[in-house]
Amino acid sequence: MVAVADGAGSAKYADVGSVLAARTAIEALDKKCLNGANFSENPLAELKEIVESARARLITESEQRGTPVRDFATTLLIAVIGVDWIAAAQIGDGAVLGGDSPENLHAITRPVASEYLNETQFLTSETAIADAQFAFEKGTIRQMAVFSDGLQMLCLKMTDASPHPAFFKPLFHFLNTATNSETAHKQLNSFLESPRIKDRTDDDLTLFLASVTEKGWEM
Amino acid sequence: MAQDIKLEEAVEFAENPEPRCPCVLLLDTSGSMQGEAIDALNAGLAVFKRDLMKDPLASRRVEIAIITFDNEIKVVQDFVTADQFESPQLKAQGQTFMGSGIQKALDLIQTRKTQYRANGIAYYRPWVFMITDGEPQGEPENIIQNASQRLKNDEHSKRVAFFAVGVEKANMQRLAEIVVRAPVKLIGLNFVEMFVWLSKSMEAVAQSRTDEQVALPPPGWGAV
Repeated sequence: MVAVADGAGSAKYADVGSVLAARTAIEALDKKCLNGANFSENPLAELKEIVESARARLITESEQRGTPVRDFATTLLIAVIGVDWIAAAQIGDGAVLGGDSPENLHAITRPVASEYLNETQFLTSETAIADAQFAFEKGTIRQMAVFSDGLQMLCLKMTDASPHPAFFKPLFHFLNTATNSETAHKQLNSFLESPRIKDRTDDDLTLFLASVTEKGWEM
Repeated sequence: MAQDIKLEEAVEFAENPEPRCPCVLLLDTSGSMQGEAIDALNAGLAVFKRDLMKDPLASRRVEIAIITFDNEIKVVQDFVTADQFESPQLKAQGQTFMGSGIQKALDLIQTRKTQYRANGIAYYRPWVFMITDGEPQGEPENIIQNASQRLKNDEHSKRVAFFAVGVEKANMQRLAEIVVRAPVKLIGLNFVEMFVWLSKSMEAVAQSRTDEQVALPPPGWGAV
């Protein structure tokens, strides 16, 4: 399970908002799985509950601090993988991709289509739950990628949100053959900081990759 | 062997057209601008191009159009990316058909958005930056009223962000009636500083690091 949250640049406490949203979502997910919640029975309702609890946490925080909830504006992406299914929820930009091979990824959730590129939806907005994407798919998922909006122009064909295979294939190959987790993290970080990437996007970058090998899930 | 994979070299990027950041410069070239004022404006425009070019993202994403208004409305420059923009040498004469100028600017933006959508190009909220040293002159009142109403509707529906700058003897009160955002009075003829600010603001938008709130009064070059 994974949660990614990207705080809004203009929001005063966006850093707090994004951390709280992601943490609350993971805790809620964890609790559900421990309690034996069967996602495949009622996935959309389960996802909605998790997103609502993350939103409620931000409202509580804003009340405690006496500042408007929009100061905590953040996007939120969550994804859970089961034996033969994937469930995802998303408010705002970025995407959750899944597939049975790196060449065969597709968008489970996709960047939000609003008129302007720099205006997206936030968990804190009144219509967040109504506007959110909730997705559930049955099938064997062997690869998953979750990322915030900084990378979307580089790895998706934006007109139809189709993943660019030549972006993900080398990344998953790297992930599957990495022997040392710490070194792999460092290399991935330096890739995200590289001039090629920085030349195309000035955004904060978050990328989560997960892949099944014979040893189990690599992340 | 895994650590030999150089990610920077192996990973390829998807081909997406650059998102565009459209900006219309709506410029008063009426008779009163003759002399120092129009010279300073021309110099400022050259600085605008030069400054945008310093930022690789902005030079590819910012699109500039120039419309002048005096007795005529002229599209001196239709939308072009910053790297292809050649700053013009404008001349001043005649009255101030501001209402018609505003309509032309809003028309140009509407057409551009249709072109973007037809070609699958993402874009940011367009800006209009109007500079005047006077007030509307020579047009019937209803022309100005219609233009102002359209501008207000567009601002309200977030179709455009419209900024007005008054120079020298500009009628700031009249301007404030026509536009939505508080007009800014340029200090002296400090177009250079103003255009540097504008290019930095466009760069910030092109990096999608701002939403629609732009900080005014701007530091240094103007007063509200």
